[in-house]
Amino acid sequence: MPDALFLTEPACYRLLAAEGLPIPPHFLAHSPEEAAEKAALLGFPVVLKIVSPQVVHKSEAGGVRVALADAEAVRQAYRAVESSVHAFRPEAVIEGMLLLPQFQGGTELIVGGLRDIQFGPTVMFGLGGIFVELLKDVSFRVAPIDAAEASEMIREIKGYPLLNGFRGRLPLDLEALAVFLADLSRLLDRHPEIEELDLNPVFLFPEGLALADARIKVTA
Amino acid sequence: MKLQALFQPRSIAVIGASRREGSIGYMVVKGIIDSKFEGAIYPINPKADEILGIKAYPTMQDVPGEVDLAMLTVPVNAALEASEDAGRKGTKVLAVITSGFGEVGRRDLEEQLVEIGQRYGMAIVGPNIVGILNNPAKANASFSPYLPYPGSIALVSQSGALLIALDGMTWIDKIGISHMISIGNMADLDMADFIDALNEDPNTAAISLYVEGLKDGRKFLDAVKRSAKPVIALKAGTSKRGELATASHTGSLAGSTKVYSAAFKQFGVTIAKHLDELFVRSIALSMMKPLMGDNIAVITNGGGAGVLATDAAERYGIPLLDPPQELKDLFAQWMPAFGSPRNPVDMTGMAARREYKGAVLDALKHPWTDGAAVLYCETAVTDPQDIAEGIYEAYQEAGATKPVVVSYLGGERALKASEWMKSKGVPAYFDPDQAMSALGCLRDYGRYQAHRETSTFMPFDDVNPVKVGEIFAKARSEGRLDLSENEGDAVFQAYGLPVAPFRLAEDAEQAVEAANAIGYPVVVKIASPDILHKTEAKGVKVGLSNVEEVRQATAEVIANAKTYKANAKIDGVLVQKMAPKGGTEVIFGAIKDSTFQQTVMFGLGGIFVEVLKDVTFRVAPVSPQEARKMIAEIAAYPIIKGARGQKPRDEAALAEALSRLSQLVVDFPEIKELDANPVMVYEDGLLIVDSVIKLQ
Repeated sequence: MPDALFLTEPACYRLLAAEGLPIPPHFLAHSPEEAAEKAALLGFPVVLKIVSPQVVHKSEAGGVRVALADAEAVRQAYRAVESSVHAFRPEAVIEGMLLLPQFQGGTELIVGGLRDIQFGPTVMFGLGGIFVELLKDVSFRVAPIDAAEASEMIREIKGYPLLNGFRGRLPLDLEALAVFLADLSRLLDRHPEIEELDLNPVFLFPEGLALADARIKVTA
Repeated sequence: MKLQALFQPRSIAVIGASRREGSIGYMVVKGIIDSKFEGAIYPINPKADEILGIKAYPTMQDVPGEVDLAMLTVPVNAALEASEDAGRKGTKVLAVITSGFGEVGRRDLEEQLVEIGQRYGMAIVGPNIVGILNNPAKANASFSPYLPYPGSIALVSQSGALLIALDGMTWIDKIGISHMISIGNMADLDMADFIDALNEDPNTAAISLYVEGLKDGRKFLDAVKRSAKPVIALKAGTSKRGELATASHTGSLAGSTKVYSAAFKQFGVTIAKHLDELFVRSIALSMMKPLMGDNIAVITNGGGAGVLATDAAERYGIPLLDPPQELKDLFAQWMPAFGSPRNPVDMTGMAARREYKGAVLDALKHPWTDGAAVLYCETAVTDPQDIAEGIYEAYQEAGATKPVVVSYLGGERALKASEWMKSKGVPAYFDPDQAMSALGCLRDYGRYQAHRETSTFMPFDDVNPVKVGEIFAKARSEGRLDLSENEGDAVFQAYGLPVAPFRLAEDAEQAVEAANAIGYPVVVKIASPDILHKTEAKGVKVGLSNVEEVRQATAEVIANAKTYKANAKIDGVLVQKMAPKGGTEVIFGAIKDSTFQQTVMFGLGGIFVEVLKDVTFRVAPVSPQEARKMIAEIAAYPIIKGARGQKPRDEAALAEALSRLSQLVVDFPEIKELDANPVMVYEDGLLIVDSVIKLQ
């Protein structure tokens, strides 16, 4: 793609953080040993992912390892990812490995942004997994929006009851989600160079939310 | 012919005929005279010698000739006596305009009326009706001002006021009607009787219904099934608020919306969501043969209309397909170089009679094409009428077998041409959406006709109703209407539905023995007729993989059950083979609907059924073929087909199980509710894991 480039995941987080959006705790490591040390700082279990400008679809390249429970598992994962990425794309420049906490117990969401040819920046929200894949259960707005509009957007999806105290579960933090969507929409509005933005998954908890992956495509 | 006296009356009496202008007794006599009825008219009035110039009689007994149809317009307090009078006279059909019966809570009067009818062999329409509007017999025996626009749609309505309103509308929109029948409270003749009768009426091609509630859903469906003519229904009262409104209106219970639409679809009733669609679809089905395949050609002179039709085609389940090259080459001759021979075929704004006729004829004559929608946007340089004639000629020359619908967009000239097409028997509309809705329902009816033969339910003979009868009898003898889980499992087994192997054990030792025999891992569940919610009572332990775990689990669930309910009668525990991993959770259900009786339900388990209400219904019994259609109807169907890299689930096993389940509930109408939830379905086979059966 000559006219566009993808930011690496750490670069995505830098951009989001600079605009005041919450990002997950994360470290970049450049050796198996460093990865093990940084993982200990995050607390186990962790997720390890390839960081390379040439590898956009990380899972496809064998560039992701999840539920790593101890230092040894992290070291092994580092080496394994390194070799599978080499095999998948020999020319890939590996900037290092990203370490993220393994989030547990949250509800999986998908949040995104898209620069539409007619309407400019838009923001999207939906429930993750099967909901977005099979049922295309998502809602869109033209950016920017405020938190009240974001609340409407959240309520629009069919799976909404799952977010709001389904079967005796604690209701999830819809206020945090609305603020997040509004902030993200303003970011998209301020950065017309962003063509596509994917936060998938985002985990929503009874208190707060956490990003577990980010991908941003910008006009070169 | 059924109800011949109603559809082809030789004489009509009006009981309660009146000289007072504005009274119903006056309007009905006037209606019959004004509509130029050629048979005998007998006004019945003890005080008048003549009404509107026609000799009147004091009672029915004084009428010289036979009476085919009598209209009853007297007040409710005189209605029963007058009905007796009509019965004694040998009246064949009594249409009761009089109100004040079931709709105001006087069911008793209605029953007496029906009893009189039965005693004399006199069929009764109503009570509480507007009357009967009969175009072929030129008889407007109603207090609606005139007969509807003539044609071959029979409209049967449960609302009288609506019928009068639509009567006028048929003249505005040129909707051709054979009969308009106000059906009122349906004390005697109901929707099903009219479907049967209209099916035999030579003047009717399609049966159109406005339904608020059916009293006997099965009788209705049986009549639909017998009907060789298409039945189109607008069911009112589909909103929660609407259900309340209809219940208080006609006094009949509106069934639940989901079951209604499932039953209609299953028996090939064309569903209309609103009045416009009722007429759009009735016109199409009264004029055209069903569409027997998916290949439709959309021919237009404007891109906009073509795009609208393309979008609508998808909405109505007939997405446009690419015609073969040779057909595209044929289309190309009828357009300039900047036209488009693909589907929709855009001949551009210069297309006139010659081009339209040529393209439509090429389309219809080609074996690829199953039907066509022809769109025309009025232009300054073309003549809508001329083009309409071209389209009609093409339709005729192609043999008038493949259905054609038309959308004419424009002003007065376009409207006139569109009306001309309708008068020639070609469904013509304004909006391309209407034309595609028409074609869509012709396709649905075609699919139903192709499918109806193969989808006949054949009962399974490897079932054991005696065993099920015994289980139900035992539960009843113990004063229980809720079956225990092992009883439920035994019922399913008796009908060939796979359940995980299980055994009842009285104590820990027996439980271990049972587990050894069944094979690990197992589940241990409390067995007590007094504990329905086993999980809540901490009465379920799963994933037990050895003797020790089974022993301990048995002791625990029995202790927990005693804590949960001290006086619970405890039979022991149910030891059941744990369902293997890797299954997809689905739910089977059956409920007894107040209108349609036994129905079966299918859905995906968990959030799909609970949050998305993604379930589908059928009236039982269903054949495995019909069950497969049912399975494919849910939104989560891709999961069954194998989403996210999973192998497809065993649809054949699902279909057979649903069919067997439907046989079970038909064989045992005493089953009030049944839930098999969850059912685990695998790549190969399925297993019922838990169930609830409630008896009536």
